[in-house]
Amino acid sequence: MAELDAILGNDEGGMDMDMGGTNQGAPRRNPAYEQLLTAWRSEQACPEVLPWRGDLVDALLDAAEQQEAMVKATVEQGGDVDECLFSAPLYESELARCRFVVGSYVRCRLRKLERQCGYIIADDDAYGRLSDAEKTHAVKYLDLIEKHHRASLLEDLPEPFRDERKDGDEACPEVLAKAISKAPALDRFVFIKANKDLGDVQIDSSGETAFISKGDTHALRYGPVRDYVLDGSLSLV
Amino acid sequence: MAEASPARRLLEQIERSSRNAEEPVGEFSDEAMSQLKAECAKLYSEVLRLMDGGDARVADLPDATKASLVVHHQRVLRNKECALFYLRERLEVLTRLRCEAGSNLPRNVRRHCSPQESQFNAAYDQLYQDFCRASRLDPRDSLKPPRDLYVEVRCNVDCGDVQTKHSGTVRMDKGTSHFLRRADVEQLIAQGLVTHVTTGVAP
Repeated sequence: MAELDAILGNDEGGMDMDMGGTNQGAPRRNPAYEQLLTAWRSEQACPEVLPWRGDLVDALLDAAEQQEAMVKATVEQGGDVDECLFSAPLYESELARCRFVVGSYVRCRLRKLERQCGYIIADDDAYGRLSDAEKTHAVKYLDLIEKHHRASLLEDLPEPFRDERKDGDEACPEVLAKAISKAPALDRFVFIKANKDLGDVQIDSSGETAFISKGDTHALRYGPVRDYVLDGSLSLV
Repeated sequence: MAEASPARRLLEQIERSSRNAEEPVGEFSDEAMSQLKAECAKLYSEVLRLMDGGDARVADLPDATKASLVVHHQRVLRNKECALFYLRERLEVLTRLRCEAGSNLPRNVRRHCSPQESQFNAAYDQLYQDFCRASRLDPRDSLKPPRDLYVEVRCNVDCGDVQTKHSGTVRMDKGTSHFLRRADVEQLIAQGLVTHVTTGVAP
């Protein structure tokens, strides 16, 4: 089972929130796991949907499946008592943690996706950041809530109010889609951690700047630094 | 004091429910909703009357009439916005509960759903399962960080034979306790069918 150590690494603190790298002496975790922890943390703190890290998710799920099969095989062979009674449960709880992180990451995106579906579908950039499964889900979900809103409310309103209209007089499904979902709160304050030196960065619409160098942590509005978060130079904490 | 407007009552209900963890979804206010719809219809017919059945050009009307047109129109829009907010917030709670408690929503939630919401729940359940399959996610997975692999649970009601992934079929009668994989019983705990027995010492 030594391979598992290579995949999950020695996870002493369990689900600890250390940024990896404070504990130089300890054996390192699988880099995909580390990266997913960062992506997961950013995703939870971010008001909008970040680029989908399908590479990490697939790599981890594949590794976890392989390891589960291995643990199962070892237990079924019933060879070494130590391995069956002591190591196997340890490996299994570690795998459960790993699966939890993946699941929580996917669900966190799902929540945001459903809340903002009208805005995401209207915005090609945001839509492009979704996985294939998420794209299908967003479209179907929007359709579903539109039907629900129509049946529960809009059908019974006077005719001119059944659709949302643009400035002109035409019914515009896109505006309706936005009216039944929530806009991402881009002006929310977030904590950022810099992954590289960025120098002077504008952090305010009035033109105020902050000097950001690698490893710095700041609390600022998400909107102005949005591009840096999307390209990965900043992570959220 | 006059009764609050239907739109305000809807907003108040959402606010109450959002602070009430026991009943995250209040009873669907059919009454306020239909009052709100009636109010919109009445306001709209008033708008039509002011505009001579919709034939008059707005520019030709006296200023006083223009002002009341704006007020009536805005009132309908406001009502609509409040009602949309009400529906949306409820859906958000329902979808969240679907993830947390599994496809069988708690009884107090199901009881409070409108017929449309029950339809929505069924359709969403299918959608969620499809999504989980496409994303290689097990919808029965735990939503809390795993602490222990096994937990002790006590059954509050007769659950009959329960299929578990790791321990085969377990007969869970009322009052019995079992030591099972957390992942297997997570949803039963969320549905309130079994209680997680903790030993008192907070970890």
